[in-house]
Amino acid sequence: MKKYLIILLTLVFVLASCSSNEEEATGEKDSSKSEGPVTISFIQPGLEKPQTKKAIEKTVKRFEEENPDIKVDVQGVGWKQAYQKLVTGFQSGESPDVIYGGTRWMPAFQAMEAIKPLNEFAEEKIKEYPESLRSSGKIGDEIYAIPRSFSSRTLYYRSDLIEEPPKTWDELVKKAKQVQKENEGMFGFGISGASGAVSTTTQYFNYVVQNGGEVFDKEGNVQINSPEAVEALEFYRDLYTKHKITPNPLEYTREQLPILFKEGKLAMFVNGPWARGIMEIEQDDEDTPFKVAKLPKGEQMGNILVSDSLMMSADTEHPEAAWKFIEHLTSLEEQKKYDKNEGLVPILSEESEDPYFKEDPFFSKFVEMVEYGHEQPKVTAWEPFQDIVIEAVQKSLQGEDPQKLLDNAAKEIKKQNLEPKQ
Amino acid sequence: MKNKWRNAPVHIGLWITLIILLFPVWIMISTSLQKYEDVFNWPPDWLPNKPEWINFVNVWLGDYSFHEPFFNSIIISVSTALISIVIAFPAAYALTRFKFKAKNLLLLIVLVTQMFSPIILIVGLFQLIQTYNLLNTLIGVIITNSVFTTPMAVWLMYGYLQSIPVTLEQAAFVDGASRFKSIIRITFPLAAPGVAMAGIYAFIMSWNDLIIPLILISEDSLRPISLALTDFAGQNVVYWHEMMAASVISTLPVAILFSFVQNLFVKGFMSGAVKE
Amino acid sequence: MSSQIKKERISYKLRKMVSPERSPFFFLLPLFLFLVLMVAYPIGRIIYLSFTQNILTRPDLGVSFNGLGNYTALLGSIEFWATVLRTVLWTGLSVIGKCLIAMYIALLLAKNIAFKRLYMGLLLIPWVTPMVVAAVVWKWLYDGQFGTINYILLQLNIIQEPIIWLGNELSAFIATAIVDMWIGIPFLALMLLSGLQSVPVELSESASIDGANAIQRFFFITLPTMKPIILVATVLTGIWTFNSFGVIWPMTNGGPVQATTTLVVDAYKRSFGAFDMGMGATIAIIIFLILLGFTIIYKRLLDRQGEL
Repeated sequence: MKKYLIILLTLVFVLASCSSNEEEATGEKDSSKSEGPVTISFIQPGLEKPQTKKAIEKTVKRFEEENPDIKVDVQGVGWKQAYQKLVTGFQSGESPDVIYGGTRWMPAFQAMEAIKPLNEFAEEKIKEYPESLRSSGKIGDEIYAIPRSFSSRTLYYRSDLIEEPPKTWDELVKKAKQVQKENEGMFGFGISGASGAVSTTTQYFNYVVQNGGEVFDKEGNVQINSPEAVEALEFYRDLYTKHKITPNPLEYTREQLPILFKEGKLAMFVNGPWARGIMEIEQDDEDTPFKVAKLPKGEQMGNILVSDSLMMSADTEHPEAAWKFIEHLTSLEEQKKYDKNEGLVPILSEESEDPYFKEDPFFSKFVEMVEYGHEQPKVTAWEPFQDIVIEAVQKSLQGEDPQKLLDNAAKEIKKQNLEPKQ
Repeated sequence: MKNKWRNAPVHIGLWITLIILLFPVWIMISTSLQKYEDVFNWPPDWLPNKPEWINFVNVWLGDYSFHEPFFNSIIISVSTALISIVIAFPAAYALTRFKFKAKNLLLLIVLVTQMFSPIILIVGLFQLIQTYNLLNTLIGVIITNSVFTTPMAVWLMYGYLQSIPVTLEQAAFVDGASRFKSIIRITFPLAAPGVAMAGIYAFIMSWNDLIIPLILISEDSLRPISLALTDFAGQNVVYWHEMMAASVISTLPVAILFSFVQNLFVKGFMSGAVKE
Repeated sequence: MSSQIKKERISYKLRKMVSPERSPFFFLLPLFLFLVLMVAYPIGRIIYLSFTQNILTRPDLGVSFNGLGNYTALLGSIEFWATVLRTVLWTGLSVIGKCLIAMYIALLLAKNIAFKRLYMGLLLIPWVTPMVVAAVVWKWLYDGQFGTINYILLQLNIIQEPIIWLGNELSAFIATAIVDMWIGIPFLALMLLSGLQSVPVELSESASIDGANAIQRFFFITLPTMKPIILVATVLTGIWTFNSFGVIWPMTNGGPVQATTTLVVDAYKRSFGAFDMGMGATIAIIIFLILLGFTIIYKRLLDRQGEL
């Protein structure tokens, strides 16, 4: 018995010492906080991309060189797991000082009092952004999120098969049908409708705003079952069911469309600038020559601007240091490097004047589309809202009546009190 | 000669079944040896004409440093197996060698606990691990894993110990050995296959689990393989070739290890779960 | 005087109670502590949560105790019952598939053949494949445009145009069940195999002398003898299948529409998608009750087997 107890105790001890080693390691960090340099933690989803990881490491290094008294501890997480991880963390008071994440998450984080209003720091900073982005990080007059990256949408098309890109919805359908007829095994157009993907909502909302509709009105009332929105859903559905010009959307997120395009299965699709990076080809490529154009117009030109932002934890012990870091990341120089590296639309007003973006035949189209940008709805909690919308879109693609579906969606949104607070 | 051929249909049947069953594994291996550009080739390449071993090097040492999660997983799985055994063996021993009132109730509790999927308990466990200050430590993951593996280990060893005749131990008692000595000298060695089987079960369960580390670990350097694998599916693009290389790395060693002990395992498992 | 005797008696009793020679106390202590520390609390927590309204991301709605409110809301909603039915169908489909194929494999392996160890080793690979990996590989195989399954079916002229496996409700339902089978078959096959090997050879031989053919022998001798093992293995498989999450979630997120949302997926979606802890916990409790039912059946089966 004694022997047995000894074995057990040794094991517990060994295991415990493993863990206490780790604690010691972090403990050292903690103690260094009070004396020497402070350490702030920064979480950025999507570091799995080696290119992004390297760039972030470099920018952090530059920051640490400029500010020898601040150390930055970079944490990574997959985009799919990020929201879940952050919310669970807030619940237990574990949160990184600086958070990079979807602007769509901000209202929920704000409601949970997990992030700090940044007015004392950011009153001036926020003016560096285009009008349509400034409000996206605000609740009332309080600034909670500093835009970090965003994207407008353009139409990618096969320049060898399509001479003139379609300018209207009707032309889009006509062109798509024509290309499809001329090219065996190729679809004219691609849309997405997969489960659990933010892209399904934005892809559909683009048509809502193009049709002169809105998801919520200025007062925050649900408009998703308005005639304009219903018509947009009908159009979206018809692309697949009636005109048969797209592959089954239920399988695809917007990220998969570029791959289909590159492999010659699509003639056109709508996407952000990163699609070029996914395809790893330039415009006028030999095998898959493509160009980008402004989106086809419905009643009007329009697209939803999706943005990601930097936020500061409400629990941070070093707000000044954290702000310094945010300022560093979003400074003209660093932001430019980041956008170029990631292939993103320039986000600072001043940045878009840079010839790299302005004169580039590729980026200039995205810059043009910014002007027609609409803000992504600032619902109180994004995930349930997204589920409701996706269910309506998916059901309509399976043949159910859009009006009925969107009525239900509106009812559900009201029931869950998801309307944005202005 | 006739005997040799009599079993041919059985072999053919098995081969066909195995080919179908292992087809996904084959695709995994062949994709892991392709270039990213060739992954989307149509018709698919059955055999990469020039195997890109570099994918494995990249995954293991390069940008993804897959060796880190791999060793984390080994630490987690081995420790989980050890803890499960240390807790479960004495319990299983008591359940088979003593008579006491709450025995049936205890067995039922053990069984029910074994049936939980981690999802049901994870909310509570997260707060618990946080209270113990073990978030972002391997030990936190190990303990939480053990919650799900220990009951099954008790159950498996309970079955196995039942099949070992008590008479041998009683002989030792007659010789004046203490209970503890008799366990060390007789029961444990006899039960070794059962113990090993419970340990392997715990090892594989924790090797495969995603949810527990997903909730408990945010530090990059502490992630196990299942969590690291989610990396390859980024926001915008899935690196199929490297992801498959990582998958091969996470599957094959366990499969090979397991193939050595499978007989033992199945025997032990059956006597545990089904009472032959 | 007598009090001293009493004391001695008590201490003797106490010693007897904890003595490793005579009592299970010390042997059960680690397990007991572990269960109390690690299992009782989370379960208590879930039970408590199931009686509250508590949406983490919506502090504006408040956190409140609402008694059986979650339960009545849940049991009164059609969607919930649809999910229950779906779970039953999905579990049933997967379990039946597993049993049939596993039995077939077990019968082949039960023969005294060469390379048996090799076959068994290869057979187990799907079982040791991490679920994340399995889901990813299969998603790739099912891909509508680049997937190998479509390629093969097209080549064999079984289908005329590619099927978007995960893009239709019915096909996604079946496709996820197939992956679950793929993972579960090897282990079940081995369980059944060990059952088959426990069927006395004499029984089968004497029947064959009596002129029974292979099929008759299987149905009238092998199956009845194996019945207890088949039952137990099926119940265990049923429980594991019922709990299956690692396959469905990475493949479909419970979609398209709700086609692959089983109870476990639903509980996860509510707890970690919408962060509706109250409702998530309520579903967890219902899952718990269903599993408790399963467990009691399992225990009964075992006990009856013990009596035989």
